[in-house]
Amino acid sequence: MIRTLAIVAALLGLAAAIALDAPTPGGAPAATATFASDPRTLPAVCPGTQTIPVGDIQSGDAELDSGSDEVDFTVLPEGGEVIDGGTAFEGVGMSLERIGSGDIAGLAGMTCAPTSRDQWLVGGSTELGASARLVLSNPADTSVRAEVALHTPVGAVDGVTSVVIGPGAQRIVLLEAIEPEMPAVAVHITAGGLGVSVAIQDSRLDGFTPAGSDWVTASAVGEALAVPVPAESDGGRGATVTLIAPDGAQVDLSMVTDQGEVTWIGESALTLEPGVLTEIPVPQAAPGTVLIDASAPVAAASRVRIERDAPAGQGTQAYDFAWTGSQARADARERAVVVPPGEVSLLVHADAAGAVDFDAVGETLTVTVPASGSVIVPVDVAAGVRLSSTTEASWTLVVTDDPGFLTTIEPVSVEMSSVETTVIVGG
Amino acid sequence: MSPARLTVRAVVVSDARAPQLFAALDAILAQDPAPDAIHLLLTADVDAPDHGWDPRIDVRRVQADSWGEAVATLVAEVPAAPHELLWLLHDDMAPLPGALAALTATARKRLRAGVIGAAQVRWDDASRLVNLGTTTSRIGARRLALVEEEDVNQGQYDDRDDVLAVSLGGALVRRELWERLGGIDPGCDGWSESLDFCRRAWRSGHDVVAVPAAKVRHGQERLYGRRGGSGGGRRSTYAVRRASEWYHALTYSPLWAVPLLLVWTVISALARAVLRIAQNEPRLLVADLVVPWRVLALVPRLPRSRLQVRQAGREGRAAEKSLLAGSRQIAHHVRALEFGVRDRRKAAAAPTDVVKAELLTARRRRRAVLAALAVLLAGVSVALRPPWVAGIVGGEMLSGTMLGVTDPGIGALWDRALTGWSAQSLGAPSIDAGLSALLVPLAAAPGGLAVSLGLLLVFTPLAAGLALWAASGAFTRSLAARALAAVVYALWPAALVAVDQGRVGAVVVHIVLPWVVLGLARAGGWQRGERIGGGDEHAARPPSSSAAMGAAAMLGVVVIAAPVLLAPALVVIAVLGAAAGRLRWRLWGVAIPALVLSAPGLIAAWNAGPFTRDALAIVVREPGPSGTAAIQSSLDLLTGLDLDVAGVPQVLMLTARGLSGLVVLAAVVAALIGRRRALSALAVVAAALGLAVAVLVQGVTMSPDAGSGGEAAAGFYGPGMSVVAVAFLVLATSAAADVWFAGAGAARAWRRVGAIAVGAVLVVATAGAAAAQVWPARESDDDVAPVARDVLPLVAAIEQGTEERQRVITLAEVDGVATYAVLSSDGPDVVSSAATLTATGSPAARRDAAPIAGAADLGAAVAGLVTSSSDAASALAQWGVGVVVAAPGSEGIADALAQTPGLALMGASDRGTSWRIGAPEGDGRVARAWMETRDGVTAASMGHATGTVDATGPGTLVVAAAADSAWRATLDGAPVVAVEDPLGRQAFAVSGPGEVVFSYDDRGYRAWFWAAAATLAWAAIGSIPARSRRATEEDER
Repeated sequence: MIRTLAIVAALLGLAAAIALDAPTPGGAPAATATFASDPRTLPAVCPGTQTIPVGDIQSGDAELDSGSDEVDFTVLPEGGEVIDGGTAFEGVGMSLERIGSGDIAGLAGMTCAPTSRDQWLVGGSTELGASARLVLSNPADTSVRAEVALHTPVGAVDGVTSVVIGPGAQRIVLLEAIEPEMPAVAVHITAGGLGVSVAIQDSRLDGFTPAGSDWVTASAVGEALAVPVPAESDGGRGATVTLIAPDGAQVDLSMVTDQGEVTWIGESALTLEPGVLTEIPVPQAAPGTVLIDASAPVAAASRVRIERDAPAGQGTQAYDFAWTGSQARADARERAVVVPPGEVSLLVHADAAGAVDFDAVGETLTVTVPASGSVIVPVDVAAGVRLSSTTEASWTLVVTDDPGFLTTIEPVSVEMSSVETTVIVGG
Repeated sequence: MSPARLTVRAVVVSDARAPQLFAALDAILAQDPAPDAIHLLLTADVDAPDHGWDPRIDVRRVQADSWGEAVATLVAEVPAAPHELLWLLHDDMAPLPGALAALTATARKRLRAGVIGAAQVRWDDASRLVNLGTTTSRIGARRLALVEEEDVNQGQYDDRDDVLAVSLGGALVRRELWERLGGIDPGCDGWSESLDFCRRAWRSGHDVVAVPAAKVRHGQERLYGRRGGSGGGRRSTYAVRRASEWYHALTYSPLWAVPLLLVWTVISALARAVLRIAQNEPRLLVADLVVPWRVLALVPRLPRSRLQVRQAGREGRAAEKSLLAGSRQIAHHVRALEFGVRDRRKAAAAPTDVVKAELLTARRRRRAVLAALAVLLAGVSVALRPPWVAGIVGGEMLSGTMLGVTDPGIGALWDRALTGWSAQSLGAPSIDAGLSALLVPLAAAPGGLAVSLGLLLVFTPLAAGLALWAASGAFTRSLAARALAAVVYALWPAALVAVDQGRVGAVVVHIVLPWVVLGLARAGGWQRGERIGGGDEHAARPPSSSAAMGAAAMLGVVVIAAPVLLAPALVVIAVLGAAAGRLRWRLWGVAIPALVLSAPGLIAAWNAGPFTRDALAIVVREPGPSGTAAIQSSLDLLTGLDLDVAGVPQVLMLTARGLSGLVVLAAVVAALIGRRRALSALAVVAAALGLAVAVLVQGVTMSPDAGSGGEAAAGFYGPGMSVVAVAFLVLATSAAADVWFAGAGAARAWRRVGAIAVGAVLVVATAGAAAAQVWPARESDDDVAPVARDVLPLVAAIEQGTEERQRVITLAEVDGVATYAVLSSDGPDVVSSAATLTATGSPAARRDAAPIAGAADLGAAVAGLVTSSSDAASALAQWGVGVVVAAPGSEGIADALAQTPGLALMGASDRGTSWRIGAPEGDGRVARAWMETRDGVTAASMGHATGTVDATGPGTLVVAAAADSAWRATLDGAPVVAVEDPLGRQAFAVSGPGEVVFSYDDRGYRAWFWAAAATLAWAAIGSIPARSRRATEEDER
């Protein structure tokens, strides 16, 4: 009897065990910690002088020579550190090169490119007559490896090009060697450590006629971008904006000038395929700013071409152009340029109307921007002065010169804001 | 025949404690010829018999402490007659008729015979010999009886005459010899005195002769400890006798050998102690351990005893020497004793020839089925994991994200076990040794731990199946039921999951648990006997204490591998003990090693607040690898687990799941209708407890294997489910034992048909389950795979092995997040068991301790590495990290490291790219511990948790390991004060120059470790089935 009761009790115990609810699963994930690095000043590198893509050919006829005697190369401020062919600064620097004749005649200027671990450069062409010369500079004391991924209007090029840059050295990659015959290219460059400083020399030749040359620098990637258009656009091939969305995006384009918004040619809403480069003409308008609102991060740049008579005459036209990269519209970081010599104006856009203040080493320069507009004003500041702003505005210095040369000097932030790194204890 | 008339003086000494006294006196009086004088020497008062003492007896009251002293008193008082012989008798000795005549006849014939001994026979059976001469080994420490005790006297010794010694009890001793030798040596403490006297007799030129024809009955009152009423048997006098043998050896050895012999007593006692443990003879164990002390206590008497031996002369030395036992004779003696006991035992239990033949047939069948089962399970084991087998054979080790690396060396495991310092992360004090001590024997096997642990994991189904075969044999003798149960257990889903994921603890439990059950069944004598004839049960063997010890040892292993199983085990053992009657203490004792092993954990749980989450996490901790498995409800657990397996036909998966359900069903039905109700109830209770444990542990968060900040796993249901499996299979097989032979006629036929049908269903389900497991297209999330034994790049691993013991940080990029690990060995060593931490990260081994520094504390520095921060490298060097390795495929991290100041590239290989922090050699090298003085930094030479450094002056000793109260340091032997370190490292303020020695010295841990090791070793040795030769110690007197 007792044993039967024991069995019954035991079976009831078993039933109770079966009736136990499964508990909330235990366990805890490994500690994930996100650390912000201390802000610091990034080194920036100006890549140096441009090179003639086909080499310096001396024909004896100054008008036909590829090279030029009228080369005026300025790097400001003084006191940069020479690395290979370039100059590195702890802070903001600028290079401006005026080449009066030859294949790459024109004005090419840029703010020295700060090193970065992940950057998009939109601009350049690998078509016949064009050369896209990617210059990678490593101002650090240790070597760094960069990976270059090329994007074209037909999408991403298979494979990446891995380049190791020694300490204080430069490496050149000709993009036409990676993928020729592409009317437009964009490169995505990733690097470790402090990253690399990169710029593309985009030089074009139309037969014997120079078709312009400029430096392409990094474009901001974001969903609300402004792309300065530094000169009057013709509504045709003379002024274009090039966009790329790494993961695809819906974008809405508009353009503003000091006269307010300009009507966009055709459909202003676009669908960007992932990794595919899209080139859109800019409406005919005065210098202004193209505004981009995207559903996902995009990078963009504008290219504006100025005509002039070709030196050889016969009614042919020579050109110079300027690449200007996109800027984030809501960027309140301090961004700065160094004012170059020559005829300089300031193209400013702000989403909110009002005053945009610039600091020119103690002096304040105020530009008033109209509502939903963009304004271009001449700048009267001595060359070599650092000009900076912390206002949420997009702006660029526009440099023009005779006989029809154009370039832009875009502001950069060399303060590396603290980078957030997530680390986790693993096995 | 000598013409001289011999005078025989019979001397009986009594301490009034032998009941045989009057019978002895009567026997002496009845001798023909009678002794010339009979003296009864009383050392205590004895009431005279009703009719008074016989007038022929001279009764004297003497003051004497021993038998020899009493005789000496008489000899001093009574003048010697010519040719006088002393007939020395004890009060428990009765000469048989004719004994004295035979003795005196020899005395007349053998003029040189100084001692003429009689054959001693048992008091109650005169045909059984007790003593007929004694000898000893050349050293003298082992007395050998010249007849096998209890031997039937068939006249086989009738030709015996000269012997080294006879028992003086019942012997004639010539009085002049007695007087010349000074009587008996009192130093012998009453036990070796005959041997001593006879040897001196030989040396003095006399002979010692045994007379088989003269028989004396001997009650052996003293040998059996009956004098004084202790009644403790021969074992009660063992220690004294053994000590007297040693004393004898000391007396007769050369002087220079005396210290050596004293040392040898200790060694011999320890060796015998091990044997006593194996024989489960605790009393003899204590007695053996006491022997050296007794010998030491006797040493003061030694000079006098040795003097007496010298005074005996050297005349008969050669003859004496020739009678000493050689090594062959000793071996023969031991063999005869041991085999004699075994044969007697065998003969006592010998079945009839018919039964013997049946048992033989049953054994043949059983062995055939066992062999087939072993081959089948070995085949299944290999078929389940062919790549593992290939990898292990190819010199690789099994490794997995949960399992870590499996090739820690035996030294590393031993260091971890002995010191209690876990090297995981930045180090931490641990509660117990975890798996590390358990793995030491495996690591000692050829090929190291990688091979033996790999084979253990591969052949888990085989080992588990055979274990259950053995265990189920205690509950049924049906070979079909046992084989089926073994296969089901081998394919038990929770165990296969444990193997898949490399959960060593759960695997060990699954293999060992059936042996615990078998041991418990045998300890209580509850096992079934073989069925013979028409189903009659052949009487099984008696309850075994060795089996109880075996169960205790195995249960110890189980609670090491899964501490949570202590609770169900205690319940089961408590119930079994209560049901075991007089064997209750033997069964309850089974829990002792498990309790000792669990004690540190239980104490830690108590200190953590007995009813908190931390306490629960400590109690259910999983030593070795742990990891979160998909949660299973109780129904999932009972129906073969809800696993994410693809590629196997649905029907096979359902069959596999159905098998577990069928086992549960069969067990419940067996519980309801089975006959062994008590067993059934206990099995169901055990299963319920196991299931409850399996369900509930899944809600408990374990201590992280990777140290503070690492991923903390949930508890695993495997060990609990192994309990369920064993309980249900035992229950089902025990019912099967009865079903085949129950009933009669048609009822029996129907039962058998039913049993066959149930068996067939189970066979089909088992085959389906096996097929589902070995299905070629099966895809499951197996975590373990064979990999090369070198995990880190060689340059990194070398730095770990240097004196500086640099740590290595590995970095990998997983989904954009830098994942890092701090390693002190070549790969993450998890099997040796991490320290147990509470939820706040403080060590569970310490009460109210602060959270301990761990890998998480290096997060900022690691983030700094990834962002090329300039101070990251030095921050890591502060914790002894000397090498940073970027895992293969994490190019982004490698690029970042390339730009990080303070890192120097060491090399790149397919195991990753390594960078060095600090100097490659000389002063700037990163070390695990160092001395900071004004003169600079001196690296310490470091072991697992100990090191030394020469301090050049006052300064700070920094040990780059988590601070703990058990770290100690000394400066030239004087203790050094610990100081607080802002980073949480262990630091000491060293006051001046000298040699600084530091170590992790956790005395509490060590005490528990050795206590646990001793109890476990005791149980393991005790489980050796060595039966004690209790009733047959050497003869004495």
